[in-house]
Amino acid sequence: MKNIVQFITAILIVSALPLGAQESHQPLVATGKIPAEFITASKAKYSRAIKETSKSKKPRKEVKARNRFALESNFILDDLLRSGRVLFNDEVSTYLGEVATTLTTSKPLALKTPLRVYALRSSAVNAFATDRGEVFVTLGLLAQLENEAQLAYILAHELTHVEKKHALNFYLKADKLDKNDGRSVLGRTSSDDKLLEACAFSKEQENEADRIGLERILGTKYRTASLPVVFDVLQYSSLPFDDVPFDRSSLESEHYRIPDAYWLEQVKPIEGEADDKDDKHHSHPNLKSRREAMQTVLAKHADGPDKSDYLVSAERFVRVRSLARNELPLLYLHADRHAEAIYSASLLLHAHPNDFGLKKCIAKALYLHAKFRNDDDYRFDGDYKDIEGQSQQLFHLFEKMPATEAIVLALHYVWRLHRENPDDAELKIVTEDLFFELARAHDKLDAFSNDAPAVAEAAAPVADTAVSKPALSKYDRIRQQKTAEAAPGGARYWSHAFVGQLHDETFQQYWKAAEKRRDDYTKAAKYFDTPKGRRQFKRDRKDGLSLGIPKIAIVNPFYLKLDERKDQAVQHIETEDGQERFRSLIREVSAISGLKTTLLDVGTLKENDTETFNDIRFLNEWFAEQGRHFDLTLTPGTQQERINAIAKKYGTDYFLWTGVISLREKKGKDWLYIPASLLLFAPTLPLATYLAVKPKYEMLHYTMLYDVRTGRHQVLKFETFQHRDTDAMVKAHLYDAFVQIKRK
Amino acid sequence: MKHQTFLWALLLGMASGLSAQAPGYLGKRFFVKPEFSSMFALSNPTADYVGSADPFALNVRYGLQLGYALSRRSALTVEASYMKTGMVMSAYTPSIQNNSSSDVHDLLYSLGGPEIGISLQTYNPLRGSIAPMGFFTAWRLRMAFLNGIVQEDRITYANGDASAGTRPLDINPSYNQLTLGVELGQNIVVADRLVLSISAEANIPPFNLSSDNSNYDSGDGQSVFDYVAADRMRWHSWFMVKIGAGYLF
Repeated sequence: MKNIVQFITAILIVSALPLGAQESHQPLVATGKIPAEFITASKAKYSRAIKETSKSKKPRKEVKARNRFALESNFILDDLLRSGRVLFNDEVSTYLGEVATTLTTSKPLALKTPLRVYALRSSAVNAFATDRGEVFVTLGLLAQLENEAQLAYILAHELTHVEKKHALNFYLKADKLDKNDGRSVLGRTSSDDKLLEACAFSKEQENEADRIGLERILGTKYRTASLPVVFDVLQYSSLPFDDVPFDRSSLESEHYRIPDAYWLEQVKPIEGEADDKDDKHHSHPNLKSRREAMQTVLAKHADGPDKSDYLVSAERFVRVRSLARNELPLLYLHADRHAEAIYSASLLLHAHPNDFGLKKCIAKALYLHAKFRNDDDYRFDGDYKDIEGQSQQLFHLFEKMPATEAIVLALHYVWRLHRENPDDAELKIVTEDLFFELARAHDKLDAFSNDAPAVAEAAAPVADTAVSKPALSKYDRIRQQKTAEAAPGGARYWSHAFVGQLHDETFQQYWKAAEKRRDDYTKAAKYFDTPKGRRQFKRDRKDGLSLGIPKIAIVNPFYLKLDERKDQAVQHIETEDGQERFRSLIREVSAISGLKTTLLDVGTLKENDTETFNDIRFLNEWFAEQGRHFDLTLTPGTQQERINAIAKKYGTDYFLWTGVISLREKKGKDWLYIPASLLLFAPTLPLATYLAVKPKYEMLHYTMLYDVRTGRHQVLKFETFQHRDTDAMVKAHLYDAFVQIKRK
Repeated sequence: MKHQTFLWALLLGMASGLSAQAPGYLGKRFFVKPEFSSMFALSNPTADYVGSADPFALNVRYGLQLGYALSRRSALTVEASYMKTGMVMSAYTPSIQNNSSSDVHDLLYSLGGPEIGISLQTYNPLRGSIAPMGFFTAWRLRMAFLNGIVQEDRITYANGDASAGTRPLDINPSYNQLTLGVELGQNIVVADRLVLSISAEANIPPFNLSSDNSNYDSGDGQSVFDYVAADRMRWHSWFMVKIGAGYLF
């Protein structure tokens, strides 16, 4: 009874959301104080871990392996924590924490540090745990679940991994397999046998997590009837969170109808992942065996009347799931998965038809798709035939629709939305850019018609000479053919995308501005293709730039130390020290050069700097998008309004991303310098000896300055030097970059 | 002296128009650097006349370089140096006792003197070098003003009789030479002020300004001196390894 009441309450709450309001989902952000583990140096955590290990009475080889695990896991996990993808103190993570608490109240975990549960901003359907006591649940997974009990089971599974230290144990097992001493039986084992043994070990751990996780659930008041659906979630994890026919009319209008040839008559039926696949080479047991194992246990435990699908809150589960689902279009958009962004946004529009944010998301996805489609280097990733379910329609549409028609599709949608929301700055930028793409595709607007298409007349039969009606002439037939092409769904259907708009003053303004931009762009491109232009380009590169910018912000200066002589090339501790050193060099060089800089770095934040933490996250996401869009003409970010606000906050439009990667290379055949010098010219022996013994380094230094409002970038440096990253070297290049930015 | 005044004027004149350029290392464009060049004598005589018996005998040059980073890509330097080497030659003087025969003088000269030079170093920023730091290629003109001092004169008398002495040698031991050099090296900046350098230099002597040695006549002491001096300079400086340690400001 209680379940029914809660269920109905949940439905009523969802239904009660005001449908008439101009709602708009804002991206989930971290709030409150930054947890200590996000801003504590990884070196400190590693030191604590190896102290713990040294107290244990383990054999020396195992102690070394544990220390290696502590090194890799601490640094890699801390990179994840600082990436901006992990949320803290937000509604979702807070709720996850409370669900985890229900699982540990009656049966506490034997952990040395408190358990922490975080939401991870990822569309992947996944959850994972670390031996440090962290559990991460992706928004992709939350979007797919039906109720809190299923979430609790997943958390219980992950808690088992934490408690039993599965990650460490698996690492030790794999390490032992890898480093077997040849005298053992394993020494004669092939690499495939080692893989099988590793996979078998991992599957044992997964089965243990399933079993103990289920025991933990059975010790609570959670209802278990719906738990087997968790394996359905995994089986169909590649699908969106719902499967509803896509409403093509949302992309069309009265006179603009996309031809039927671009739509599938029948989508591919849903099969999902095979649940009984051979799992010998997999780390997880197949879903069938897991499901059966669960059902065997559940058969002995019936749900009593006191059991419920919700122990924390049905309302909050629905709210959290809604938040997760609403985040997905943004995540897909950021990852340039345009079809998925549009489909998931359209699913959400069923419940929230007035959500402007969702419509804007669709607009941006269509826009980005048009941009990519019209880039000469673009290749569609994947095959629409592999997509199952209703979302296949969009993949098919995008694959079949030619590049220039994709621009019309995008602008048709964006233009209507922009006219309804003329004050939205992001839509304005997207509209301008789409007009520019339209101008590049069509010299003039003559290709489009302002009038509604005429209805095509049926061709008259050829007249018999005895009948009085005249036959159609060749020109009549041509006119009929053209009318048919221009008709909705015809070959020139796109020419009626802007019926009634072409003479609109605003439309004309956008078009004229786009023509000018196109002409300027063509002129510039032509110039830099001439010998004179190429010489100037080369000269600018060698002489440097003069940008006249007095103030910039520097985002997360990056430093990485690699040593290819070692098994693990990434030198984590030296990397962290190098990052600190790089920051101090930047501060020093800023002062010398006179360029005003604001350093935005997660490594320098204090617990109250959550707003800065979020700023850095959005800036890095923007930068990642610009990196993917590098070859496209200037493209705004998917959160451009937020970026513009950040620019205003820091008093500059110019943001710099800079980094150094230092590589210590293997010496290779450098010793050959010595015999070569002795053979060819003995006096060079001292030089040859120096070259033979001198350590070999390579340093990559990049410095990229962006105007974050326009997306215009200046790659000041992107160079590789056969040199060690000494302070002098780094400072010299930083100074060089800063002077180029500052001088007029 | 006139050369040097001109070069300094040139440098100062250039300095005023260069504010638009990216200055040198952290804004420090000037550097002063003492240098030491050396190479094995390869069985040629050295200033100490260790001679061919010692395979590790070195030819040396001591220098002082003043440089100025003109831009990210180039630096102009002026140099003053001092080189000294040994030279062995044979000359003839008519015998005092018998005009028709000659005394043979086997001479060991110490040949040395000041040099001045000017060079243009080019740096490739695309390879990480920014003047005056990093790998560079330099083209140099160096003018040597050398003087030979006889260290030893072993005379073989025409009649084997040394009692009458020998006639003086009619040799003007001055020698001037202009060389064109190319240098490949690296300047390493330490602690933002010190600059250490290592380079290899090759020199070609295109001109011999003090005399015309195209008519080399083994009977003419002066002609022999000029010829051997040119040859000695060629072998002294044709390839040297140079190290330096200086200061940036």
